[in-house]
Amino acid sequence: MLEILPQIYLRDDGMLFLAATRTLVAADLHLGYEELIGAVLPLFSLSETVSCLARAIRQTGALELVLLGDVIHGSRMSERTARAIREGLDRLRERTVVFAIAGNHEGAGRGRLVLGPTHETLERDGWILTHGDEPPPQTSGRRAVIGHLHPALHCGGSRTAQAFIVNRSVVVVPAQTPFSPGLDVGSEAARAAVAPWARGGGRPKLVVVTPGRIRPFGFMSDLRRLRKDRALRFPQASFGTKGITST
Amino acid sequence: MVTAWCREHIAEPTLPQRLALPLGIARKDHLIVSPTGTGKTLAAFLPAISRLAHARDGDVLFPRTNIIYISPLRALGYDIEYNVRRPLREMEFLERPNSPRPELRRGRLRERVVRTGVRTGDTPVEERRLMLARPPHILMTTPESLALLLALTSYRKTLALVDTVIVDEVHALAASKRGAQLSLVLESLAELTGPRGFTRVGLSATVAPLERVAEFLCGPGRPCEIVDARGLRAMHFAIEAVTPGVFATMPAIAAAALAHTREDGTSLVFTNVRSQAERLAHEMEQAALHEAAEITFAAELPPKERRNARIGVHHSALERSVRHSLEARLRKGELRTVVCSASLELGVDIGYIDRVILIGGARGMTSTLQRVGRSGHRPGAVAHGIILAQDRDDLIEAAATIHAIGQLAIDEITLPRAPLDVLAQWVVSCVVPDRRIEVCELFSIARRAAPFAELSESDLRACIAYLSGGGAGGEEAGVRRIGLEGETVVGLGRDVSAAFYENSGTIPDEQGVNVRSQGDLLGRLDESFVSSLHEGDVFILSGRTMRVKEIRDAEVRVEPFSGRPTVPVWSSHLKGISPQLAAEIGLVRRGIAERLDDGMAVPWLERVYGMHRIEAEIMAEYVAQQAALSAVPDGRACVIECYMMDGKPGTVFHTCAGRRVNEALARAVAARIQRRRDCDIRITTDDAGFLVALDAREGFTDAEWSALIDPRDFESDLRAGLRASHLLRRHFRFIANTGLLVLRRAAGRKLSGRNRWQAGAIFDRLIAADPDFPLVRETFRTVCRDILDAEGARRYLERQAAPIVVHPPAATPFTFGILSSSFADTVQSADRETVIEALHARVLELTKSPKR
Repeated sequence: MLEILPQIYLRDDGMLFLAATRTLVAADLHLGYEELIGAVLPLFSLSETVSCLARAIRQTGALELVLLGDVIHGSRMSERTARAIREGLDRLRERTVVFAIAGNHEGAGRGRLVLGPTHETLERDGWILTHGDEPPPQTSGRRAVIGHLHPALHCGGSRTAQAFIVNRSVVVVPAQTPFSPGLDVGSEAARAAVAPWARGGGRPKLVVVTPGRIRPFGFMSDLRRLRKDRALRFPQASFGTKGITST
Repeated sequence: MVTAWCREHIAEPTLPQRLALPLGIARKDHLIVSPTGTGKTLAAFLPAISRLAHARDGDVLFPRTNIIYISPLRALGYDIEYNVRRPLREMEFLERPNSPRPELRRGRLRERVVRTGVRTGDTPVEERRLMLARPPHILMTTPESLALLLALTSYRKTLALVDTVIVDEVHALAASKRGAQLSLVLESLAELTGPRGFTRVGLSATVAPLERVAEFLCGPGRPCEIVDARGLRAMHFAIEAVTPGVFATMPAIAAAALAHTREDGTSLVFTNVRSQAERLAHEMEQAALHEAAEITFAAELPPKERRNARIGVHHSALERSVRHSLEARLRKGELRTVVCSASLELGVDIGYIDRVILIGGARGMTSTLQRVGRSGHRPGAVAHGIILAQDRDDLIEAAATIHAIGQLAIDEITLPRAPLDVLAQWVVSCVVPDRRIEVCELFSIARRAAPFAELSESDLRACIAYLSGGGAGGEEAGVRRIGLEGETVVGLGRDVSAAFYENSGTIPDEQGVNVRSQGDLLGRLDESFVSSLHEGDVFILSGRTMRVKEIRDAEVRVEPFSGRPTVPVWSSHLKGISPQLAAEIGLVRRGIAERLDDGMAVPWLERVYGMHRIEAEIMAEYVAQQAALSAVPDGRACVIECYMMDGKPGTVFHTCAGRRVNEALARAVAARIQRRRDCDIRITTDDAGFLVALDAREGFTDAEWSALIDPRDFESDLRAGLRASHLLRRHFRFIANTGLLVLRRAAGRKLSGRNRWQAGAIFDRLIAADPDFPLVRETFRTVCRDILDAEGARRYLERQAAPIVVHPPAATPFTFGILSSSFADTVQSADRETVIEALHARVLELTKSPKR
C-alpha cells in the first residue's frame, strides 16, 4: 500500500483504504454486467470481484467496506442474477460492514431492490465519499473520494492499467469491473472530467497500479504532454538498415 | 416472346451463353465461369425469365418470388436490376407504375406482369412493407438479407415457390464466412421449397479449383455442371520498374502513374492499401497541377485544366454517398483517373475504362485478372494492364504472376471448415421467433452445405448448449437465445428473438469512427488510429489534407487544410499472396540464380517471362547481390540470416512461402525461442519471410537457430505463440458477435465501442473457464486457417531441406523489404508491465528535466 496523503492508502488492486476509520473503498463494480448487456454468458465477474474484495478486507482488517456507486450495471435484471449478487454481497457482510452508495447505474430505484438500503454520500475522516456523477457541491475546503470516471492508463493495443487521480481535494478511485476500458488518464476528456472536483487542490497526480506494483506516475498534465509527442504516438517500429551489424 | 427478344437483341450468343442456356432451360444446377463482360448474367437470367413468361401465359403467375439473385455487394444489386429490368421492359413484361393489381381468379391471385425488387440492409422500411404486400417475382438481395427474410414468418410464405437462385461473384463468397452463411441459408430455403426444389446458378470469375466452387454452390454429392469459359478475353500486360534503385518514392510512383494516365481515355489505378490510395491520389494531383502550370506558364490555372488535374479516390472507408457520386462521375466521363483500393475490383458499373494500372501488382493471379478485366469492357476489346513495380520484389512477383496466368495456374481458394459462429447464428435463425425443430434435423440440413459437410454432431450440440443458456465451465448463463426441450430446439418468442433480428450477419463490425467536415460525413477511420490523433494534427482523407478540429465520442471533426500532413495515414492489413504464387516466385528466383554464372539470366527472363531488358537486368542484379552476400531463398531451404540490430539479435528467416504461412511460422518460432529465453520478441512478417527481434543481449548458435525450423509439435507451439498475442482477442470479438454470444446492437441502437474491450476480457475468462467452448475453438480455427495458414506452415516445415544459416556482413537486399515494414505483433512475456515501465521512465525523465 502507498500512503499518498496522511492516513490515505492506495492498494495495488485499485482500492483505497482510509486508515483513520479503517474504511476500505472500492468503486464501479458493475455486477451483473454479462447479463445486462445481453450476453449468453455466466456471471464471470461476480465471483471474481467478490473474491478480490474479500481478500482486501482480510488484508486490511477493514471495519467497513464502502462500494462507491455503480455497484450493479443496471437494475432491470433477472431474479436469478439479483439473487446471485445478493449472495455475493452477503459473503462480504459476513466479514465486515458493507455500505453501498448509489451511482448512475443504480437508476431511479437507487439499486435498493438488489442492494438493500443505499446512500447518496457518506463522510469519513473529513472526506466525502460519493459516486461522482453529479457536479460537486460549491463549498470551499471540501474533500471528496469519487468513482464514476474509471480512470485508467491506456498503454497501446488493448492494454490498460488501473489509475488513481489524486490531489488535496479529490481522490478518483479506478473501476473494479474487468469489462471497462476506462477513461484514459492521458486524455483531454479525463482532464475536463476531473477539473471541477480537483479545483483548489493543486495539480492532479497519477498513481498507476497493477498486481504487485504501485507506481506514482507524476502529474496528469505531463502524461498529456507525452501523449502529444508524435514520436511516442506513432513509434517507428522499423529498424531501417542503419543499426545493423554482423554477428 | 423471350425467343423473339433474343433474336432481336443477341446477334451472336457468347460462349458462356451458348453453353449455359441449355442447362438453365433443363433446370440443371450449373456454375458459369467466365471473365466479366461476357454476358453470363443474361445467360443465368434468361431461362428463368422464360419460365416466368410461360407461367404468365398459362395464367399461373402468382404473387410470389420466383427468382432470387444474390450478390455479395449491395451496390451491385442496383446495377443488375438495370440489366434485368431493361430486357423485361423490352419484352413488355415489366410492371409499370399504374399496372393492374393481381386479379382473383379460380380462387387464387393471378398476375399479368413481373415485379422486381431489391432487398438489402439499405432498403427503406416503406419499401419493405410494400414488398411484403406485393412480393417481387425477381428478388435481388445479399446473403445477409436473405437469411433475415427466411427467418421472418411473414416473408417465408412468399419464398415457398422459388424456382431459380442465382449467386453472383461465387468466387468472392465461397472462401468467406459470408459464404458459409449463404450455404446454410440455401439449405434452409431448400427445406422450405420442398422436393420441387430450385435450380442453382453460380456466376464466377476465374478461380481454382472449379470443382470446389461448384460444390460450394450445390452442396457435396449433388451434381453441378460447370460452364468453363475462362481465358476468353484478350489481355495485354506490361511490367515496368518505377526506379532502378531500391525503393520508389511516392512522387516517383505518382509521376510514373501520371505518365500512363496522360494518354487518352480513362484510367483506373489500383493500390493494395487504402492509405496508399489516398497518398498517391494526392501526389498525382499535385504533380498534374504542377505540370499544367508549367505548360501554361501561369500561376493560376484556368478552371478546365484544374478540372482535368482532379483525380478521384475510391476506397471502402469512404462514405457511401461519396463513393457513389465518384462512380457516377467516372461513368459520365467527368473524371479521367481514379485511384482505388480493392473497392472497385468487383461488380459496380463504372463505365468504359481504357487501362488499369496496378501499383506494385495485385497480390495474386485472381485479383490481377479481375482488376485488369475492369478495362476494355466491350466485346472484342483488349484489356490493358500495367504493373508498376515499386521495388525489386514487386518486379519478381509481377513476372511470376503474369507467367502463372499464362500457364493457367490460379490461386486456389479454400472453404472455411464448419465455422461454429456461423452455425450458431443459423441455428437461431431456424427457430425464431417461435418455430420448433429437432436437433437431428438441424444436423442433417447443415451437413448438406459444403462448408459443413464434416460437421460433427457434438459441435452442433455444443453450440445449442451455449445458445440455450448452458454457460461455460459448469456455470449457467442468465440469458438465452433459444430453448431446448428434450431433443427439440424452440424459439422463445418476439422479445428474445430480437437479439437475432438486430444482430444477424457475419461481416465484422470494424467500428470505425466517423469523420465530418462542416456536418458532412467524409468517411470512417480506424478506432486505434483515432485514439492516437490529437487536435491540430493534419492527415489525408479522400485525397485532401484535413486538420483535426475536435475529437468527441465517436466522431472526429475536421476542416480542410493546405499544408503537409503531420501524421501518417492509418494502416490496414496487407493481403498476403497465395502459396501458388509464392511457389512461382521461388521458381523465378531459382531460375535467375542458376543462370548467374553463365550470364544467361537476362535473356532467360526476356524469353520465358517476356520482361523488357531494363527490368530483366534489375532483377538479375538483385538476385546476384543476394547471392554474393548470402544465399538465394527459393522455397526449398529456409535461409536464416543472423544480424545484430541496435545491439540486439535480430534474425531474418527467408522462407519464400507467402505471408499467411510466415505469420504462422513466426508465431511458433517465437514461442520456441521464448521457451529457451524469457524475453519479449517482436515479429514482423511479409511474403518473403519473417523477422524475429529478441529483447536480449545474445542470440543462439547456428544449430539452435536451425532447430527452430522443425515440424514436430508445430501446432502446440503455434497455439502457445498465439495465446500471448493480440490476434486472437481481436478476432474473438467478431466471432462472439456472429455467434450471438455478445451483441452488437440491442434495443435498436449500436452498443458502444467498448464492445471490443468486453470481448477481450470475456475471451480471457471463457478460455479459463472452458478451453473447449465452441467459440473459443472457433477463434483458434479462424485465426489458424482463415487468417494464418497453419496447415501450409506445417507442410512447409515437413518438406524443408536443412536450413542454411548465414552471418552476412551487412543487411542483404532480400532483407530490405522486411526491415522497412513495421512490427506486426509482439509476442510478449512481460506484456503490460514492460510498456508501463517504458512510459514510466519517460515520465520520470520529464519530471527531472529542468525545462518545464
